[in-house]
Amino acid sequence: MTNAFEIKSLVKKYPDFQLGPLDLTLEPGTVLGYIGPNGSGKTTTLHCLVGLVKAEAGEMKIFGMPNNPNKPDWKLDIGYVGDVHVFYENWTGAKNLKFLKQFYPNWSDELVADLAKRFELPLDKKAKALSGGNRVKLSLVSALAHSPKLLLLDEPTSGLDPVVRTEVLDVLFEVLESGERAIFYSTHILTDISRLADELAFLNEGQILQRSTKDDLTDSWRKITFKLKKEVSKIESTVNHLVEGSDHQIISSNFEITLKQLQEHGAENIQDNRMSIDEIAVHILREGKNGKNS
Amino acid sequence: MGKILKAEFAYNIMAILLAYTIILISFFVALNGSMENIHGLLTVAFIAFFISIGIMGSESDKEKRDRFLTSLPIPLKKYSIARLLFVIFYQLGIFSIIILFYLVKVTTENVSTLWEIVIMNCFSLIFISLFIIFSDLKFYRSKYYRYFFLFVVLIIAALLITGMAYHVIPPVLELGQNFPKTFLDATIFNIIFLAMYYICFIVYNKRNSFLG
Repeated sequence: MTNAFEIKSLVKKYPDFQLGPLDLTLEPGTVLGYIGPNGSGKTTTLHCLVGLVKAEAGEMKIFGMPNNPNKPDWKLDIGYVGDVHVFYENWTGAKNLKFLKQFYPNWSDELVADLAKRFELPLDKKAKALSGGNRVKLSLVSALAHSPKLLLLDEPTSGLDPVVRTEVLDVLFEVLESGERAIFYSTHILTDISRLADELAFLNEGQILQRSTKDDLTDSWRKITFKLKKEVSKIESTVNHLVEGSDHQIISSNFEITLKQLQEHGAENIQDNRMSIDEIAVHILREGKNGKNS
Repeated sequence: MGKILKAEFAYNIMAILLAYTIILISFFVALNGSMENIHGLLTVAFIAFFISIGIMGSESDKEKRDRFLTSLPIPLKKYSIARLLFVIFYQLGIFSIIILFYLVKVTTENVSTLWEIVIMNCFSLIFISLFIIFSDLKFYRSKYYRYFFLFVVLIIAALLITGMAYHVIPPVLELGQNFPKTFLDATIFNIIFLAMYYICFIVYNKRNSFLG
């Protein structure tokens, strides 16, 4: 089965930042959360993938087709919501959608009407008169209206107030959960995507630190407390280790290996607690940053 | 490509109609006079074209129109041609009004004026092409590459112009004066105009970024 997208050895350079070399694939029907702090390269990855920016090196394919700007059939299979929402500003939402419809054979007016109703999006207002939240909604409707097989979302809730953000996400996830499409959702707010994502990839300073399924992450990462009187040089897979007398607390990225080693060392009162995805993400990204600095 | 052109003309219709209205008013005022009024009409047309294209271009930049339209599933080359054709077709509309004036006023002594109209038409388009090229060069990889490319473009333009100095510079300097212009002068300007728009096409397609 053809991957939704394949990125091989992608390199994009800016004066003070380099993305890559980056390798990333997305299987059809998979939801991948692309997590990273501001400036890590999430938006640059998407810009390269959709052809808004030319990379220095690398190969990118969408459903097996190279993302060649002069052979744009691959764009028919994608819906893209970027970091900036652009329209014909003096035209209404409806007129903008009518313009876009000409380019997508699979466009559905019924779907547009349904999405606009669910989002409570006023289509009779000029784009320049729309609030930030409504601009996001118009972008989402534009991206979803032709039922794309791959949805690329670049921090769609960025800059929205909490009420509007929740409103947008609730409807968006309701729509996305019912489809079979692949979704690539870039964000620095993990709670935005943790509900929907099958897998998470963590990006920092232009490099992918780790990619795992959500379940693997929550299964393998634990907060472990134990008592150990003797000193130990190093505990395997420990990300963080706090000691107070004989009381220890560690964050482990591989619970099974760490537990085995603690048992070998004769640790007592071993108690483990599962961590939330947010907590895990912080440690992964922090470790990535520390690894780069050391 | 046609869909993009249609949308761009529809979107900018008010600015276009305003410019054409000003030119048409000048046309009717000029009709009451002699053929010499062609120079006033050409001047008004050039100014109206230049200002309206400048406003439309600046609005397009502000709205990041390139980013919006290059995201569509149309070949980049087709879009880059469409954005140039918009300028050319717009100018051809103005050219048509001036030719109409010429046809109303023409006598056997006015052939040179026809070439003057063609030269002015080309000159307007060439002038705008320099702005288009410079605007697109902002999206190149480094400022040194940009300045080098600009230098090359200016050298090519200068060579074209100076290489044909006898036929090209006098017509430009003598617009508005009664020195006869020839078919050769008009042809050379057409060649320069086509060359400059081909450079515009190349420069756009070699942009590093379409985020603007």
